[in-house]
Amino acid sequence: MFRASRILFWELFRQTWLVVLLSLFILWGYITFQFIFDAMFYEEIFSSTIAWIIVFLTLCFLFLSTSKEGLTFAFPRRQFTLPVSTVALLNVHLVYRLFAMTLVGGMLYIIQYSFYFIEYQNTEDALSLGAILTILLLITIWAQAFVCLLSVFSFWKTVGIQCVMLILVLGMSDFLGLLTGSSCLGVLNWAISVDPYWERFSIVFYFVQGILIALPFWALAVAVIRKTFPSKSTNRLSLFLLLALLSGKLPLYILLIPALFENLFHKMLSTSYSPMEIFVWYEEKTWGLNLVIMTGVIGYLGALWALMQSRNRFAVHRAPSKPLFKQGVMSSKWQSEQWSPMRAQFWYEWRQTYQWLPYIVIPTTIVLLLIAFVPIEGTKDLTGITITWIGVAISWGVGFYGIRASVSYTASVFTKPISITTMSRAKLWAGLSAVIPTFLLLVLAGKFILYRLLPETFQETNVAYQSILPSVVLMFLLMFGALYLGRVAIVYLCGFYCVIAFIAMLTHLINPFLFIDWEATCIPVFLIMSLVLGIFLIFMTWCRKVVTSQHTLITIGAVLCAMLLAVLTVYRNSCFSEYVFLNLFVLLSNTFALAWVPLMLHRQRHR
Amino acid sequence: MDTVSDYVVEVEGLGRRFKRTVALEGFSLKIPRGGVFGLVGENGAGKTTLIKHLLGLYKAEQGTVRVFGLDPVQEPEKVLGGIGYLSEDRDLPGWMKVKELMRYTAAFYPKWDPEYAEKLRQVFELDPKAKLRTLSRGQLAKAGLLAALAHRPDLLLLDEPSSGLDPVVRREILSAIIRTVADEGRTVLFSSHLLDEVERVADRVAMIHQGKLVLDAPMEEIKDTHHRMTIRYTNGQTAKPDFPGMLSCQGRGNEWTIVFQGNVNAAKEHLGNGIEILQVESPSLEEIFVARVGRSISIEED
Amino acid sequence: MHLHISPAEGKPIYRQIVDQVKYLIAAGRLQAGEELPPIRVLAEELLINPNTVARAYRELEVAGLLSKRQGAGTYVSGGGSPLAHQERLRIITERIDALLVEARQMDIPTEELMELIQTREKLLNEP
Repeated sequence: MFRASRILFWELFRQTWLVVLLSLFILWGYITFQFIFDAMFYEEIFSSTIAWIIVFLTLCFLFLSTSKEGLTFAFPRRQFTLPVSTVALLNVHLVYRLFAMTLVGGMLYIIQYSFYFIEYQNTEDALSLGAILTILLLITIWAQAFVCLLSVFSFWKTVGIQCVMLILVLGMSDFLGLLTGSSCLGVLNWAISVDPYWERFSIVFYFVQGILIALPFWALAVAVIRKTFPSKSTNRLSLFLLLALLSGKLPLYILLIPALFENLFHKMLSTSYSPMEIFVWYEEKTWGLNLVIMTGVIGYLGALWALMQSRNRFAVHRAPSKPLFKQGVMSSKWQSEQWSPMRAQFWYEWRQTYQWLPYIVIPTTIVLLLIAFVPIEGTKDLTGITITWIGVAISWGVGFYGIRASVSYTASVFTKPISITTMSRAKLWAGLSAVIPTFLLLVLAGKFILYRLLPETFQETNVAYQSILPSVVLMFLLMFGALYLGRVAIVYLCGFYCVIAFIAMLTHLINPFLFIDWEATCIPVFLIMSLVLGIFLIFMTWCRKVVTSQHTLITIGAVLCAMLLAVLTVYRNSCFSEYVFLNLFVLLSNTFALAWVPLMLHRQRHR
Repeated sequence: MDTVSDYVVEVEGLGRRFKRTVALEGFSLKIPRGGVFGLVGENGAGKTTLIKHLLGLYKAEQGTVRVFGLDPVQEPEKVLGGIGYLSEDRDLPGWMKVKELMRYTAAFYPKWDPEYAEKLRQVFELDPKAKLRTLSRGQLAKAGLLAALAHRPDLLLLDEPSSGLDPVVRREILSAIIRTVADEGRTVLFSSHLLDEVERVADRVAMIHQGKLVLDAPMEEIKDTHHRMTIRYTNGQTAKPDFPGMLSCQGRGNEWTIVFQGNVNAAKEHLGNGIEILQVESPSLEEIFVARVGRSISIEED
Repeated sequence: MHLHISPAEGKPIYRQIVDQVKYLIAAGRLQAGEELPPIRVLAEELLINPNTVARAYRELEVAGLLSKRQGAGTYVSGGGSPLAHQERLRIITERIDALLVEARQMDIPTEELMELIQTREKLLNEP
């Protein structure tokens, strides 16, 4: 058993060590960079958020595994047939990921620490190692539970089950809280005493918000129970839940959810805890630790339960489709309505990959907006930005996932009699119609939150949210990166910034005085390089006759416009906001790569 | 799609390597219009590679490939429009529903016949609302076959259509092949290592071994020219018999069973006087295949 | 009409059809004037290539066992044809040969075999 576990551990290590190493390397580079350029990056509010995003992306990649259908987040089924107990199987996966995240979390701690040290000469406000690890490891456990659940249930059912688990956590932690002396009333009192706004905005606000959040939870919980358990126990369980709801205790917990989380968030972000102080923290806030422990335990149990379900009822979601079906089910309506190849391919792209971006980002943004409305002193300056960045981070995760899932078309697509031009056009349109509305929403939400929270400093901090704009373009490029570059897309786009950094370093070595305006110095060089490359690519596609002249003209036009704007912004007064747009246009100048799309598709199709 | 050529597929000197492995070498093949063409060979012999070349999914490194007289890489739309393809690994997207698959596929083929598609769906007993992910292997194969057949392709390409399927689904696939070819002028090319099936349905058979064409002839001709002969030495000789055209030889002592290609009388002459022929039969395709492939292995060992 | 095709046997499939149809006619299970299934139907039923069926029918036609009426299908030719009788003899001869070979291998002399045949026949005739 031990030997088998060791081999599984090794397998996991083999699969993901590069990701962990890369992320550690990037984070390390992040620290060193700050020393080289003397904290230049840290003038910006969102700087540490970037480190967090890298950490979350690492987490995403840690859970990716290969399966027959390509890369997926689902638990690798092939391991079910190994002579290893389910508990050991889960432990191996979990322990490896916890280990990896501990490493990454340690690096994150160093970043936070040095950030506060350099910026404020004061490390008291930095998150403690304990707090960082608590957050990260809990998220890891829940992510593992999510992955395990996903291998049994559909996506929305999984989300529903995790919501039920959350309710369970809140209920249970307070149950333990009761045992250790702090009653439910005490928690309420504590929440009120911490938060001065509580009195002003009154309970009504929380109540409405609580109900709003609770209702979908309940709907989901009931739906999940209905579908998961056989009818008899369903009735009993839903009866139990109904009783619990009516007993009056659960609604209280539920309307406390926002308050609890805000307080927890606030505490963790603004107070420093040394490992020793964790114990003080424990004494002070028993319920807080209870919450942490219960979250961990419930997450683990959820993962274990799901894995057992998945292993024993191997074919649970592969219910054989009914042999009897109604004749003439197909209405003549959709039969007569013939799609054009372009329409069909657009539909395929949308359903295959791109729909996930809006489907995940839009509900997340709405929920985050709701949470952001909780007015709490002290968290103002961080909340808005952080929330927007979480949205961006999630969409990045989705984007990466989408890319890796659709790196290459299967033969069933390539053997359709469709031209490469139509294919790439469908792909571009599907991508645009996913990326643009999604990011429009994110940008608007970010702006709205900023305005709502910081009306007095809105103009100054406005620039911070603009940092989203380049990420929109980067996101879009990433989503197509796979298409024209295959698996090296990420390397390409990282290399893109490496080139800038390299030129900057070179400039710095040659003339240290130019260094202040390094972006202004090195970007023209980069632009010239990309122009040469772009022209070369356009020429290539033109020669191969795989694109229409229309496509080429649009691409050339887009590239030239972006470059012109970029060059214009370089020589203007360079304050921060100018750099945002500069970044944006530099990224836009990469659209030349779109000219490459048909060529790459052609190469993929005819290997 | 009307071309002067009588051949649906013309492959000339095709060569292909994957890094160090030679998948196809100096491969030439012509597939006449109409009829069922069976492609047999071991796993990894190059069958799938050949089929992917016909579809334009691989670009010929050496030699030329023509389907309907056109280059599938240069003119993929024209070529693919006349082909119905069922891939070996049934790579249809799992999230699609059966009716969505039909609608999606229909968009690409102007010749798609909705009534025929609906008829096929009912014959195959596919639930239109079922997601492809939830289908069993057999049903998935049938869904793939539906998508490949419903536009009545001029050339039906089936890559291992019956591997891993139960006898019931295999029967359905075979009868679909027979129905297709019964329509005038349609051609079916299918690869298989179930030689029993190939012998049933194929008019013409090509054997591939290690990327080379070992045999390409009409089924009748193969059956007529291959013989299995059991002989006994009457002169006390015990050496393994050997003569040109012999493919394999099994036995010991003075009794040997030989599979060979050619005339029985000529074989008798080669073997000389001191033998008695116990039996001459025609071998099954499977025996011929094993004899041919086995022979090249023994040559390599030498 | 029920035919059984087995490619593993080695015998060409069209030959298997020809032999079996001949046997059916000889055994009287296919009557003169009876219609044979169309080529397409038989091919789908037996899961074999239509061309193979066509070849078998052609061969049977040449042998005078089947006749084709223009646009109306294939029928068994008029009964009592000498060919049918010859065929019957041929089939029974084959069986006798096999029996003799087996008897020889089991060391049963031909006289004993003849006796055995007569005993069996008596038994068969009894109700």
